[in-house]
Amino acid sequence: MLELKGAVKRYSGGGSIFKKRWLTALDHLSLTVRRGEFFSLVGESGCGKSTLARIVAGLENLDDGELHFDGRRVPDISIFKDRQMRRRVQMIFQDPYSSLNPRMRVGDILREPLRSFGWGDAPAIEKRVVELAEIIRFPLSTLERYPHQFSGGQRQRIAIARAIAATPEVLICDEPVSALDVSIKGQIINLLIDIQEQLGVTILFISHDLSLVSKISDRVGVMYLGRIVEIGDAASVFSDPRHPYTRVLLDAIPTVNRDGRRQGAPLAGEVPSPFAIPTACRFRDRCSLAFDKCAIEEPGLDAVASTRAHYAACHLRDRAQPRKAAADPPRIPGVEIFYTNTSEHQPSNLAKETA
Amino acid sequence: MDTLLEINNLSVTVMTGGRELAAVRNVSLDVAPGEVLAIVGESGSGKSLTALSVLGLLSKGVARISEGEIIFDGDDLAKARPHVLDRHRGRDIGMIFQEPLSALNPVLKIGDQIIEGMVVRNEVSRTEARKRALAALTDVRVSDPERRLDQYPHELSGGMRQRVMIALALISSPRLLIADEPTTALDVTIQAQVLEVLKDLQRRRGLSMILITHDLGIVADMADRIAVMYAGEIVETGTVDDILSAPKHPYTIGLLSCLPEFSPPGRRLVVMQGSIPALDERIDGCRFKSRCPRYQPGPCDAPIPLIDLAPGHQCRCIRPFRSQLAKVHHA
Ligand SMILES: Nc1ncnc2c1ncn2[C@@H]1O[C@H](COP(=O)(O)OP(=O)(O)O)[C@@H](O)[C@H]1O
Ligand code: SF4
Ligand SMILES: [Mg+2]
Repeated sequence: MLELKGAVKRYSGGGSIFKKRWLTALDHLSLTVRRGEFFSLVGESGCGKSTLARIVAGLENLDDGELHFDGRRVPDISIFKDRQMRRRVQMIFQDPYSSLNPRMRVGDILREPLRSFGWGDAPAIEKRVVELAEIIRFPLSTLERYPHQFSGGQRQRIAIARAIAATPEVLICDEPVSALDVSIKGQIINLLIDIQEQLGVTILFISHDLSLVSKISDRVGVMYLGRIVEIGDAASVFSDPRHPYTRVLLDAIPTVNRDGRRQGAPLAGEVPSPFAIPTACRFRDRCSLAFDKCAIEEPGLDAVASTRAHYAACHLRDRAQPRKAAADPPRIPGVEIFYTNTSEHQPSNLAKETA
Repeated sequence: MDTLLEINNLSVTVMTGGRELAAVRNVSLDVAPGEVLAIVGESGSGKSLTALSVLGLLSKGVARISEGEIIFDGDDLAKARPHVLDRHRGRDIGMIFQEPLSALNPVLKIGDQIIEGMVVRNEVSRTEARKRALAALTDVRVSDPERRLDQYPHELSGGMRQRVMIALALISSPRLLIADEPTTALDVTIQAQVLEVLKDLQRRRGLSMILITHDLGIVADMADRIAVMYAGEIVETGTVDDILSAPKHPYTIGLLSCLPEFSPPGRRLVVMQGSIPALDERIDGCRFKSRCPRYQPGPCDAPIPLIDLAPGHQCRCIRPFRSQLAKVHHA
């Protein structure tokens, strides 16, 4: 569905006019996202996740490499100009407040993309607005209100409705729940899962919350300094990570379940400067397993032996080291009193409108 | 029990739209020497206002303590005069916040910021102060501490800045440290490093700490006791084991069930319907009732007191969850 081949993106970061300094945000990155899947991208801040998102959304150009959409190469910035392309790829951001026009009523916010993408005549547009309100569970009366009259979670639902208004094929979500409270996160996540499962929209989900990503994704890519260092089925990557970086990321998650907690020492050091990416293996100066080869030869993103579709850019990728699973799946008495809410969220009217 | 800080019946009001509304309601808490008390809850539940009250940092004309006392070292900080507050804050009580950039002076070198306080308080000479500043930075494991003394806050990464904040907060050897979402803005890897530093210093110095966070994983790692706040009130309080292994209040249970690690099988997450009530919303009885799956018309509509379930474990619910299920299973 979406493919990046050797994608390079550099930004100039000061320096003099004669000798500009360049930072490498994407460094010959290759990535394939399959149609209809929930693909998540994780990694520390500054590793290039948002840059990748903006490129795929057509908001920025690549300096080198190619972006393919649906098997066809996308020429530079054409998404911007090509209305069809813009309709097919939509994006939502972390802060739903700054991305919604505060002076527009919710109804108009939803009408706008429908008009600009030529959805149909006025009655068709109104019909679609009603459908969208149902999808995000907004009573029709609330469409007359302004964004500031809603909570953060509700605003994010408005942003999602606007993004899916003209039936895009790909929805890019850049940290959509990072600013929300735990009790609200679920509403947004479940809505995104509905949109993927019921409407068949491909989701590219960017997050730094690994425990969330491990639960909701089909596949996951781990980024480090502008490159994918591990990629594969979420279940495989999270239960048996083959890149040491993925492992330390997982070990760093604070968890409530005491057995499953802190399986190693925290990762030393901080992300190196993207102005000076280490040669050979880019992770070697923080890696506890680094050996001489890591400073000489760059490990490719190659398949892990005896797995299906699990790749890691580490010379030691074939050393299996499954993570210790919690002995007993965590259980807290009473936790199920809220479970009904999960099924209550089952989509009611999503399926019908694809038909 | 030995206590260092005792908050009794604290209520805080805030001015919004020309009206004075209750944001913290009759909160009572205590912290023993060397103890880490975590305050958890969704944003807007009154955690920060509670902490700011202890620090005497409520913004004038906007928020004020309307009732209650805050006893620290024999002084009631709720009624203390500014100079008494100033004496405690910064010396006996240290603080760190989520965004160190706003707490650090942007035009002052790191070294000068740390040294200045000591010199102003006339404690030591400049040379001695610089030596102590260096030791303090080493203590929080700032890399290259000598060079950092001459850098400005914006030249440091978020993780380094937060370490500097910790060094600054601890330089005068306070007995109580108040940390409001200290690692929320950091990446997990950096968060893990900063938490290690905090935990290590807390243990080594026998520091008491109030840790405010919305991350229950951090609480499990750091705290001895937990107070769960909802809509301005404490709804459950107990030891970490009480709260995380055998929660009784539906809200506490809800907070835990929202975590991916406790969600039911499948991809979907648990949702707590609705959201925290607005400050001006009139609610009779339980303040959580609109979101509670155990709500019962009648009993839940009358004021709900904080009830003792076991020594040290209290819960503000008339239908607390009383399952022995887990124990039976493990026997
Ligand atoms: N300066 C202020 N002006 C107006 N309302 C405030 C102010 N500070 C806090 N509040 C309100 O008081 C309530 C509790 O806030 P706070 O203590 O910051 O909660 P928490 O730290 O738990 O997120 C919230 O409804 C918040 O909007
Ligand atoms: S008092 Fe009633 S409404 Fe409140 S938490 Fe308990 S059961 Fe729920
Ligand atoms: Mg707060």
